[in-house]
Amino acid sequence: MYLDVTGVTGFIKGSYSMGYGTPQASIDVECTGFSGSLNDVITMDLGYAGSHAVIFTGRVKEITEKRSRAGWNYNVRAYDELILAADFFIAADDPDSPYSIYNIASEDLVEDLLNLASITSYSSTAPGLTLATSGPYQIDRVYAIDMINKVATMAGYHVWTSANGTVNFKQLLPYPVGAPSHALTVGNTGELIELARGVSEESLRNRIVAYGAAGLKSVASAVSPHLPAGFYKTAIIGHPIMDTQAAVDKCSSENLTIMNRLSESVQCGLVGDHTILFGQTITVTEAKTGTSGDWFVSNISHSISGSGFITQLSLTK
Amino acid sequence: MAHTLGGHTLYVTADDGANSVIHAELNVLDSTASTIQHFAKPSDRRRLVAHVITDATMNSIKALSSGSAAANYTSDQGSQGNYYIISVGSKRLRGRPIGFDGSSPTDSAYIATLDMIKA
Repeated sequence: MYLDVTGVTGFIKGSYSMGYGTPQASIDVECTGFSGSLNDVITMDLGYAGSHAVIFTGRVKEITEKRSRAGWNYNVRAYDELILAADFFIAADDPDSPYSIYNIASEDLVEDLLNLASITSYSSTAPGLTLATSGPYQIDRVYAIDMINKVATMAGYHVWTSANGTVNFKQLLPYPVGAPSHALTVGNTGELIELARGVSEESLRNRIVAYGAAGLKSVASAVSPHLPAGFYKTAIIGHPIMDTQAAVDKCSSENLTIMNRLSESVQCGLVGDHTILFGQTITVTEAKTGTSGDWFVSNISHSISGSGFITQLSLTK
Repeated sequence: MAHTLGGHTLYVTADDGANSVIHAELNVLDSTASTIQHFAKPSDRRRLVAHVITDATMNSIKALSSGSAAANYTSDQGSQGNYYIISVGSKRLRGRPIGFDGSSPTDSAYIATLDMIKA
């Protein structure tokens, strides 16, 4: 096994986790020596002696020195770059002159908000959503990450940080898209240690109502084969910076595509594989639970300890 | 031949070693063999049972376990390296020592059990 974390010596155990529903990736390391300081940039390079890669770049946010019967150890916790946006509260020096936006593409607004939080490594695509077209809109007394996530929801996009620390604002649909990068299975050539499969319509929404400025609204709905005939589960998304009919229409239609789905999920553990990444499409085959086909990696965690290098995945269809 | 630990004489009657390696064993569903991952090799451990002659020597050996320093262990095969003494057990013998180098019939005698971990 291989693990290298910036500033860490005497590694005892470590873990990494990232998920669709969690704001940032994080790592936790227990070690006998640590030379870093709070907010230092830190990377985690993980895998096997002959095959490993940097899977995390972030900032040290918590250092604990612990001395006990079990020894003298450090516990180090770090979060990816989006922690800066989560910690940055937008509050104007002059309340009469707050940060304001006007006629701005959503990807540019997200970049500006990231820049306010000192995040400059950024990659985006354009969802075709222009905001605050009819006049200046003031953004004040809100955490940058909250505003960024609202914009992402309006666009049907997702915000996450790559392993190299670059923040992405792109479409990342929470179901398998494209060719699978990995195939996981059981048996002597397989990887799966444990697996559970479930199905639920709890998070399914087949009617999306988007509200914008000045009475603008858009409703998108579709019949779901997983709900009683004629029955609709509704989600509401609203924000006054959507001030065109095109904006609220896009918001409702994109989110209907994302939410009008059965929550078919798999939780599985496998022999550690650092090449599996958040957001990938992978194939999983396990006959006894009836698991097959392509899945979206919605949550991933790696752990290395005396119990082994194990990867845990939450997968959705 | 007497052995020494931290320069103090022991008459060793048993020397048990324990070497281990931490391997994680993962079992893939429906597989017929384990997946083994090497994690680490802990320090070698050693357990000595030895006669110790005189209270002074017994107390000196006990003192080796009360600090944070490792002590050199030399057997009849030469230096075995430095060891941390993680526990010392002692049992006073009823009889008088006879036949130990330089001992007096009035000396106290102990059977000591020493658990050690290699530095």
